[in-house]
Amino acid sequence: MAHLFMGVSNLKKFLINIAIFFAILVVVDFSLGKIFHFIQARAGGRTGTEYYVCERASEDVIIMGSSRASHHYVPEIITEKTGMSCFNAGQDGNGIILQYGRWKMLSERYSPKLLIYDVNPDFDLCKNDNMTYVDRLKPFCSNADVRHYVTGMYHMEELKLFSQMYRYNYKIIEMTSDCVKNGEDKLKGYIPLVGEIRKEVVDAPRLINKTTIDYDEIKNYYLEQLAKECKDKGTELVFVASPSFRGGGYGIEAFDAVRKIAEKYDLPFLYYYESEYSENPKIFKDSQHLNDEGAHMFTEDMASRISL
Amino acid sequence: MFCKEKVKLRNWFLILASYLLYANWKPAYTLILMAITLLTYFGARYIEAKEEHRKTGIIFTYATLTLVPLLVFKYYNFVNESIWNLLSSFGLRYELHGLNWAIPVGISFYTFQALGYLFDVYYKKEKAEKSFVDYALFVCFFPQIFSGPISKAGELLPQIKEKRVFKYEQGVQGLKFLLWGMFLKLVLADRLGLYVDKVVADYAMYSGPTCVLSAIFYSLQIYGDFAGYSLMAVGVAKLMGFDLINNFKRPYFSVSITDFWRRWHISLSRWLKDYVYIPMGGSRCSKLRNYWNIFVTFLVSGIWHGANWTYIVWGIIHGVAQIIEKALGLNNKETKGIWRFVRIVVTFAIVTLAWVFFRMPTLGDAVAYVGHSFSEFGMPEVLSVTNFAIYVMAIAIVLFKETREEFYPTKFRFLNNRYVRWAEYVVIFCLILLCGVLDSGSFIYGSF
Repeated sequence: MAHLFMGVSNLKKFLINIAIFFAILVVVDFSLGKIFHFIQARAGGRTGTEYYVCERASEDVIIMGSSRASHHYVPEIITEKTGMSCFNAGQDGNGIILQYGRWKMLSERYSPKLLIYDVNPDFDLCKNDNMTYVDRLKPFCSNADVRHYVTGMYHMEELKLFSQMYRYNYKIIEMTSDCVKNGEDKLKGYIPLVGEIRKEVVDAPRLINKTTIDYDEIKNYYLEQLAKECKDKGTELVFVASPSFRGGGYGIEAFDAVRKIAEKYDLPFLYYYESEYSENPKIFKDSQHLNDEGAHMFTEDMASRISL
Repeated sequence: MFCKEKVKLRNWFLILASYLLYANWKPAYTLILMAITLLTYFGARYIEAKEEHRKTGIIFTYATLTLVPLLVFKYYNFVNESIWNLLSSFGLRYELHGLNWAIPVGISFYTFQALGYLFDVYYKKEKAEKSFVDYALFVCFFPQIFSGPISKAGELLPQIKEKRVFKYEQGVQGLKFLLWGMFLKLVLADRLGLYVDKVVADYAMYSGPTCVLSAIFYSLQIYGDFAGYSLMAVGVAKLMGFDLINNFKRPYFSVSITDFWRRWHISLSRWLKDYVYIPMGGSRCSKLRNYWNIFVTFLVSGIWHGANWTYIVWGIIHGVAQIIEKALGLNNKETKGIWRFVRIVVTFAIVTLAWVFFRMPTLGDAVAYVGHSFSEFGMPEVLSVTNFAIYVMAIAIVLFKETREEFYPTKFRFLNNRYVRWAEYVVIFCLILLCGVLDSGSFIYGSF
């Protein structure tokens, strides 16, 4: 019997200690969350650019898409050609899943005059794990719409987002290093690439570009939502497939889903993916990305078309 | 009487929880778990009741029947393809259809645990269990069903039967194991996995030093993954009042491959020693026969890990290395100082080389990977600065903890201070939240 009572008192002590531990954790979590938010709002570099797009951007023209967007569009040229201010919100390794969340935050503040969306089949059309794409939205989950968007996609996130620290999972090192890069992004989000495509890629036998892909219904849904909401808010949306070296692995048919959305909402779809640029190795950094020279040539061309 | 009823009720509850958890993955496969439980339960009782001279035939029959699901699910396709390839090289072709079924998760673990019990009864080390409920819980106990540790009947069954009173120290130990296991898995293993997966998928595109670094990272990844899971399993079990065997004892501080197998996947090493190595004669025979016994034991270990020639070669590397150590008298030789350090490095290098075979999809890829690793010189590529900073931090923390436990167990006493310990737990928890890969749900050893 005494043994049993000892067990009960041990359990009580154990549970009290667990409660104290979790109380400490809650305080630490809340405090660190506040500190990280403070750092994020004042950082430069990629963190600063990201924060600017989500919380402060007010340019007339916004460019969205993957790394192909961030490396292919020079805002300075677009401003020169159209007379409108411009910011490039392209993001490496991301597509519509991240950009729709950003659009939600941006469109809450104002309606840009023009939204250029660069379509990349890998991140905007193909089926793959969408979980990774909402990752960069987590620090902005204090915004109810964004939180709803993220948790709507993955219900378990509701639980995880109780933690303030979790929202900065994996980002803390980048944020800390971006602290010392404090300052305005003079290139307005554009990231130039220097150098030319490797000789082995140029000399390699030509591959047959894919004409069919396994479409992701979720991505397709949000691409359409973006088109619909732009129409409702009076933002002109242009879908663009910017140049790739020798078709970059996808044929024109792979873009059918975007073409259909563009037709449905009467939007322009500018197709450069396999165009006169595609055969010039001097303007590419790799098969998917234009170098700085290529980006300038392409932006001049594209801006002339949209300013007409 | 009341207490006995309470224990029985608790065991029923644990069986239900274990089966529900297993069914959550693929409900139909609970039938295999149940079949193995029934087969070994009645098999053991039958063996115990039979006369001595008839037991060998009976154990052979029951052991074979117990192994059938494992052989069919895990090895059918491999054997089928290997025979087909062999016949094809002679111009003969007779194709049997392959199975397109997922391998039941943890099948190798619970099959070996049940089989071990059957052998223990056969060798009269254990009495056949009378209570089916207690035995069923022994086979399906949820913390260990997916990736072990492989418990022995003599260790777990008495704990299942006894009435448990909550012990504070055991509970605290359980939480510590759980926390450290999560760190090893989520921060160390899964982060390193991002680097390894990227390099392995396209190794020809990366420099030799990058491939070497990736191989070293894989050694650490698989340790973090498997030891992390084992610690979590042991931790959860402790919280429920059970003590399971600890599967790892700082394996990368081993001074020989023989030593490595005393520290790595201890429950499997013990199983192989008790039911393969010793029945074959162990070391109480001629030198040559002893070498053969070692070789066969590690061949079985390779086959147990998977149906692929890569696993078999991995097992052979470990077997041959141990034979060489034994022949040179290095297996039990004590070394100190710089020589100990040199031996640790050499052992780690051999283990890492063997892991390349374990990781690559085919033997050809493994050989090409090793060749490519020595093709260029220079600095390895970082790939992602953020990830790399996390690797360095995680490796440094694990290295500090294990170095202290291995070499300086009585030093750094300030770390035992209550407030310092609590601060450590909070920091580890924060690191898991800030640096862990929190959207990964699979364990490498879960597929074995």
